[in-house]
Amino acid sequence: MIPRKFAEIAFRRWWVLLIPTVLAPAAILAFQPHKVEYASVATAWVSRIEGVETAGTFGQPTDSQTTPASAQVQVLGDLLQTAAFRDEVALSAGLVIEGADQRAREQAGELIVKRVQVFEVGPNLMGVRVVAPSAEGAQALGAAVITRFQARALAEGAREAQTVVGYFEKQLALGQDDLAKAQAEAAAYIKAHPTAADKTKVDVDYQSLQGKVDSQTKVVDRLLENLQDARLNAASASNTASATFNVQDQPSLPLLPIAASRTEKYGYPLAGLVMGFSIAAAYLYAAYRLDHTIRSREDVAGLPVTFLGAVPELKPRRRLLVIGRRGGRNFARRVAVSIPPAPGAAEGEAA
Amino acid sequence: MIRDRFRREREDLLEAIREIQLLSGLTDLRWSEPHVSHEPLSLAAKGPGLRGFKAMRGSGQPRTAPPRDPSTPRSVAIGVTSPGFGDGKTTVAIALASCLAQDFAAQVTLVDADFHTASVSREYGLEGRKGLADVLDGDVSLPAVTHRFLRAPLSVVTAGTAASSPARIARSERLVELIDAMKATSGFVVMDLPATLKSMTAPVLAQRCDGVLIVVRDGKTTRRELERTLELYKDANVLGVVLNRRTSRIPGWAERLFELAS
Repeated sequence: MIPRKFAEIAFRRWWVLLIPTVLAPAAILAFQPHKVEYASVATAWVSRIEGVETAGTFGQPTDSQTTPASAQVQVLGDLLQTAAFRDEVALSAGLVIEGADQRAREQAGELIVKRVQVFEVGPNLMGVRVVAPSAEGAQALGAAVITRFQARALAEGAREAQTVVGYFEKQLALGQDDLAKAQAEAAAYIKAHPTAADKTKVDVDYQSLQGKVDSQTKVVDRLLENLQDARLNAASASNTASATFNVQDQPSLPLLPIAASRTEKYGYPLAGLVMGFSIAAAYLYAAYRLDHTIRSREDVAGLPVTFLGAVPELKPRRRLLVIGRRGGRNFARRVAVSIPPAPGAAEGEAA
Repeated sequence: MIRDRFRREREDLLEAIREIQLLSGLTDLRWSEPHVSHEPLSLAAKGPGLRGFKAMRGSGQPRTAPPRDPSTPRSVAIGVTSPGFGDGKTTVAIALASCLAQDFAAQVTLVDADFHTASVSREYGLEGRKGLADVLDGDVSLPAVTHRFLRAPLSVVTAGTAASSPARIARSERLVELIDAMKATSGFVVMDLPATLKSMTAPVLAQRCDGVLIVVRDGKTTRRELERTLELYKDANVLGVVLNRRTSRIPGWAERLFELAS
């Protein structure tokens, strides 16, 4: 049950309830920035190379639960966190010029982080969404992100392949050295023991040296094969990168700006309405709690006294209002008298 | 509209008076059935309408005043007070006396016991006239300071002009005798007492009355003030509380919808 005093305060100060409830949403609507932004979206097909466990472009470890798209999304997301990659993208998109100072590059980098969104569309499809104040800017930034990502992927693939080639080249050189040594030892032993090579006789030392040579030959052969594979990978690194990250839809040129979200359209004003109403209700409740005056029978309850009754306040009618109404009535009468009767009205009345 | 308001106010007051009668033990009225008139003149407790009453000092008899019968039940002295200034105790006292006199056709004596402000005297245009204080000083007799109306069985005794101490007046036994004398000639003696929290004499004067009516003003008098007033009147017979100048902005539909208490 609502206390009468609270109702009295609410109806007396209805404007306290009304003003914040109206003003708060109105202020939010008035001061809410209406940004015109365009979104450019690109999609890319990503796949896992057959026979290679590390399916990512950079060879990042993946498990069976991770899809190629999610792996690439993670890679691109990580790259966007690096200042070097952001600098490259900013430069490529024209957000900063060559030789720009550190502050300008940092600002451009922050802008890129805010505006670029990478997401997984499907197991093998990932998307890049870029928001910018202009349609051309959004498209350019999207293209820059994808181009720089592809360049990074290519460079990284080539670097990895070159690393592998270099490794196998070193290993091959060592293997060939060992083989040459083993062959030299075997040759020296035969020179010292000419009958050792006779197959009818068994020379254990010679056979040991010969086994060493054979085994080292196999190692060298295997290293040669691996080196050839690594060189092949290095030569086809660009093709591999294209196969694992293939842009299906180039960054689009948005024709219409982004529609305002429901949160901006309705959520914020509604929140303002709730906030304004809460402020007003809190004020009224405080006013109710702080008002210790007697206004009704309820306020005397609990005291050892009988509430006999209430005498209403008599307010005389406002003189100006009375005069105004009387004058208006007289004017209306005069106007009514001055209007001539319509022709035939008298006959009609008589009839 | 004004007439309707007067009627409503009159009905409220009549209800309050009935409750006072019940509380004071005067369940059997000495007078005839209440003659309810809807003339706003008698209820115009404040303003020029009331001053239009012609006060006749010590002369004239009320038209409808019945003869005093000693065998009838005792008369009642009702004190009207309030916690502070401006709560409307004088207005309610005058309205109460007017109602009793005109609607119940009772002989009523309205006594201005507020020696500080003498509001009743001012309302009736009797400033500077001798009154209760002068009688207590022995300068004049009570009939000599009793002003009677011609149109209603109502008498008014002003506070007076004597420079006596209000505290001394309140404590004097002579005051008790005077009140008894007024009760002997009137069915009701309505005393306009000083504001309780502003005067030390109010509780003493209240003890001289058979009952005390406390007037509180809507939206001005606090519950704490009323509590302090009731503490001061613990030795007096408090009849009840009247809420004066009540205003409400709650529309009728809201009262019905929320079932708000009156």
